[in-house]
Amino acid sequence: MKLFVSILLFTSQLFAQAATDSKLRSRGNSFNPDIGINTLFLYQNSNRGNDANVENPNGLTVQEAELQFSADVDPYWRFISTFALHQEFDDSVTPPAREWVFEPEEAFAESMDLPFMTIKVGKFKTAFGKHNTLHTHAFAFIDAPLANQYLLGDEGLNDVGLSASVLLPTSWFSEFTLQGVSGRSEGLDYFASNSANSTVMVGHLKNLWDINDTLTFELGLSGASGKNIDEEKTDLAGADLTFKWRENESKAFIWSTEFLQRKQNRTAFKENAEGFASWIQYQFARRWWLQVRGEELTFKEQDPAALEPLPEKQKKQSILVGYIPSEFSGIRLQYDQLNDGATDDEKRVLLQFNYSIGAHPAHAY
Amino acid sequence: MKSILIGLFIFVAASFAQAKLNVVATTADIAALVTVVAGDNIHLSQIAKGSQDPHYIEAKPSFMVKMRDADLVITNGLSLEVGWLPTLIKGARNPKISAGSKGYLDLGSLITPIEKPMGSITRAMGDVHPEGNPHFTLDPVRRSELALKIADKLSDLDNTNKEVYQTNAKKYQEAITKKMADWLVRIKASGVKTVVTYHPSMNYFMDRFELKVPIHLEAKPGIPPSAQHILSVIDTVKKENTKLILVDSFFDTKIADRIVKEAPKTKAVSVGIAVNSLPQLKTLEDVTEQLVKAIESAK
Repeated sequence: MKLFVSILLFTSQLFAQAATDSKLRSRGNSFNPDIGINTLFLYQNSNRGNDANVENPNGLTVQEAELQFSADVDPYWRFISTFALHQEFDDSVTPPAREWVFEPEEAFAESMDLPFMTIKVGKFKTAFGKHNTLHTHAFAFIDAPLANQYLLGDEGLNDVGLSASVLLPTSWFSEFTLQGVSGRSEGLDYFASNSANSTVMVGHLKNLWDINDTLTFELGLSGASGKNIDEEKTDLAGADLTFKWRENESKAFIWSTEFLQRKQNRTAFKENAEGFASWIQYQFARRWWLQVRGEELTFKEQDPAALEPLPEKQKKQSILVGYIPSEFSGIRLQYDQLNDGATDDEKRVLLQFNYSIGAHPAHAY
Repeated sequence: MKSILIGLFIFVAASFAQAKLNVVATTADIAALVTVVAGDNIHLSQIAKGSQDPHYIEAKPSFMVKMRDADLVITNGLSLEVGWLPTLIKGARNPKISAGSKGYLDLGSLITPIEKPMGSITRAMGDVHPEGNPHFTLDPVRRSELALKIADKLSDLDNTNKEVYQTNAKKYQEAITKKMADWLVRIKASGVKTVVTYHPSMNYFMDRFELKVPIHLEAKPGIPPSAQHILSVIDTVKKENTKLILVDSFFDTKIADRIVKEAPKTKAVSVGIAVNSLPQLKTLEDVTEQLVKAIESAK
């Protein structure tokens, strides 16, 4: 009998232990980060894409796959990281190579508990301009505006540094962001100082007014300044303007314009380039969008000794139809015409398939 | 100089004396419930208007300004605001109202929800809320209980008006108990047993008044109905002898009208399911009264 009681006690203790273990395990799981994957498949057909060895050949590709992890670290910090998988084009070898790369797009910690202010540390898309802060799947069009591609680089002004963003005590939304970054991340060859002590400063003022319940007006001003590879100054300036009207979830009209300018003082030459893009997005039914974009990019001054000088003036027009059946998938068809001074304009059709699975944080307004 | 200082002191003292709690309610229904409890003893602002589908509110930065100045945010919860509230709270940079803090009241966590999905869920099921159906403000009993919880929270943050908050909430609960008796009798007298709705937004009301919802116009929550699903709705309406289809006022009645054409014994009524979704719906009780009348009209 005594033996039976002991066995019973032992077994019940074992069960209690197992229950505690499973509780601990499940609590552990509940603290795992939110995980989300967004993938963009892209089909292209262009009159300049028939050669398989150009950067964007015709056919179907993976435009980008983004893997995002995010979680609150503790009551004070939130951590967000995004890794991007895409193919990189290397034309320094013959024939040009295409390699899959998996690299951190963003990895930063952000304060959650400070009044009026958010502090951010890590690698992030800087607050320079409006388009620069967007992930590829949130672009208004399939590709970034020319000015963003040429003046900020393929990855945009995305760098390692520190950021402080203050919500000003005004009756309208007014946010001032000041960031100090290294200027030495991939693609930032317009900064890229050789001095480890050099910092690129980025400032952004975002204002948004509600004109009425359905219409808002946003005005953003940006600037960035730092040393370049010649230890001289590179300055960036930007302005963005957006009117957004939304009647309900089936009807909206957005008009955005963004201007960017880059000036480089280099030892051997001066560079002065500027460009703008203006686009209209019209949602005419719950799942349907119709969009047009016009843009221009001008290199007023550039390196006269450049082996492949950039076109002095580029003009591009795009039209897009989007079918967005849910927040998590979309199919978009875009037609572009690019005039860059070459004999024939580039005419291009793009078809993009957009899929999101897992956790997907809400997009900014 | 002295008089300026005295004036300044009086001004500061007066502004402190008048300092009312700044409360932000995420939806029109919650704002209405908070008004019942607090009256004009607080500064109240709201995010979603009654005429808007609360699932699809855009996180406008002007809402962040409201939340920047808030002492308390009262949310519906159960993932109703998941697409926009976290962005607003993050943008507000106000530690007083961050999720889990004293100034954050999640009403959904204080009720027993219906339709909590069992087993694993996927997005192929549409816009499913993992914690259960979030449209509980249409249940008069649950909302009268929540009035007491709101009174507790307000009393906690503003002890000077504790009596007012508690008394108002208790009075509201008593009024609802009386009204419930009347609504129950009227619905029973109507003889209506089944009602078809567009979205599962009226299920708490139906559940409270023991009305069956055999099918929704949406095959899956948040996904517009397909032609094939409309055929099964027509079939169900005929089989169940359903006399009433209720369509939330922010959805089109075109599909419901098509069903009525095929099943002429039923009728489609557009109803407001939130306070101020239609101009005549000023209070939560107006909303319930309107639903009860719609059911009576299908006798």
